[in-house]
Amino acid sequence: MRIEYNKELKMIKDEILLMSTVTEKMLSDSVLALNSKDIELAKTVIERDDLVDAKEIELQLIVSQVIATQGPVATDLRRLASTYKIITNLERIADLAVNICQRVIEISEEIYMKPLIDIPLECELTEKLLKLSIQAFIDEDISRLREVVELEDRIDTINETIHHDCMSYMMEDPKNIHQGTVFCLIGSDLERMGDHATNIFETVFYIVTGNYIDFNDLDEAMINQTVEKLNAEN
Amino acid sequence: MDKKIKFDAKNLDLFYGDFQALKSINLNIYEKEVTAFIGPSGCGKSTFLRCLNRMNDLIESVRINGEILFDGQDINGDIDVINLRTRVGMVFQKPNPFPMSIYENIAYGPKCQGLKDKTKLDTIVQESLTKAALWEEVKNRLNKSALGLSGGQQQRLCIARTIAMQPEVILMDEPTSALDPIATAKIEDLMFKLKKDYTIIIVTHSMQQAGRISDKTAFFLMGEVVEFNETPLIFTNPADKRTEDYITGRFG
Repeated sequence: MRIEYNKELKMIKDEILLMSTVTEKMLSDSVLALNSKDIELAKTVIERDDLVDAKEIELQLIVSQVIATQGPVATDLRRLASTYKIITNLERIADLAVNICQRVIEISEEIYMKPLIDIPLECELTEKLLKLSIQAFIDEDISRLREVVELEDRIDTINETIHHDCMSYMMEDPKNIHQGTVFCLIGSDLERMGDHATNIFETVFYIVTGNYIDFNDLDEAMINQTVEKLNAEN
Repeated sequence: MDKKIKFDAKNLDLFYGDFQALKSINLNIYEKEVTAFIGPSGCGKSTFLRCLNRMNDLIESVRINGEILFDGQDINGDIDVINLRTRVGMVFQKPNPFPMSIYENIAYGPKCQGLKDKTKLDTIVQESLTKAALWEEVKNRLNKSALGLSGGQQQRLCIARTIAMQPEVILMDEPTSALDPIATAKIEDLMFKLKKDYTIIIVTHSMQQAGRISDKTAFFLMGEVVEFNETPLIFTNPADKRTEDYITGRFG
């Protein structure tokens, strides 16, 4: 039944997967460029942002057309309306990767005041969170809810550590202030990316259950309760 | 504030001879709301609609078990059916004006009830046509034949004719399926206005129409009510997979 419609829905999903693949790579490349002071790589990340922006606009148009012509309801409606949120979050992640690369270019001539440990770790966790959220969207499976909440918490903690460490370096020597500020901003950019990835998972939660929850409000008991409920339904 | 229950169907079964068309229907229809019945052809939604003013009495082989309470009174018990049908009016799929003037179409019901006062009849005709959003279009040709009206106007005339009897409930069986989108939009706008004064129950094959106009929706399937809930919930997050499959067009 509704073969063309199903094809359109699948095509939209495929396009989002493509958009997220590009975004994920921008995220990891931005921190790679930071680590290796690779200006050329940073520039390619900045260039790739145009692709993501174009894909966002293209998907907005396609989804609007499908909503207008197919009159989606129920899960289809939640799926399509959520697409707008998912692509907006992906586009914001790509923008933040661009921010990082601009900062990389800014400090590429400098000798780093400390070896980079926490920023690559924060990047790794953010990338993991994004992959997990996109996989949840593709599979429409929210069983990894707990991991999402834990990853977001860990990212927040690492970001705080980065700020704390940089603050110490900056207090130690005012010459570190510029670079310390840049590292803090990069830490915050990654933390924001994590928030956007969590937003995507929250949106998937809505697609699957029809309910919105703010993951910041989730405590251990609520997570247990939600996971138990999901297991019972499956 | 909780709305008053207008109709309360309890374990209602209906048989056409040996064939069971309705199976243990339990449904509350609330006052001054629009309730939509949806479901595939032959699912029992029109049959149930016709139970509400005992139109099924006209079919000989029909047998009914269970109760339908109308303002608390069982309509299948010892009641005046003519009075029931006055209180529960009906509008059909195809506009069916009488082959007489516009004025006479509206005045016919009240006249049958013995009203002869011309002034009162004039008032009823004007008020009914106004409520049915038709007065402005026909006020200068009240004595012309109703058959000269367009399909959409004829359907609004039929609604006006129902209103003239001062019903409490208006049943509508696919009232816009024979109309173009503009006439449909007019009828839908009209339903919004009418629900302030009347309880409206509509059978429709258009999911979008049910979504646009109704407060509550009941999904019928093979003689059963699969799901009954607030319309926005039915169309964003139905509880039953069969409802989801039907409204998303993946049924079959």
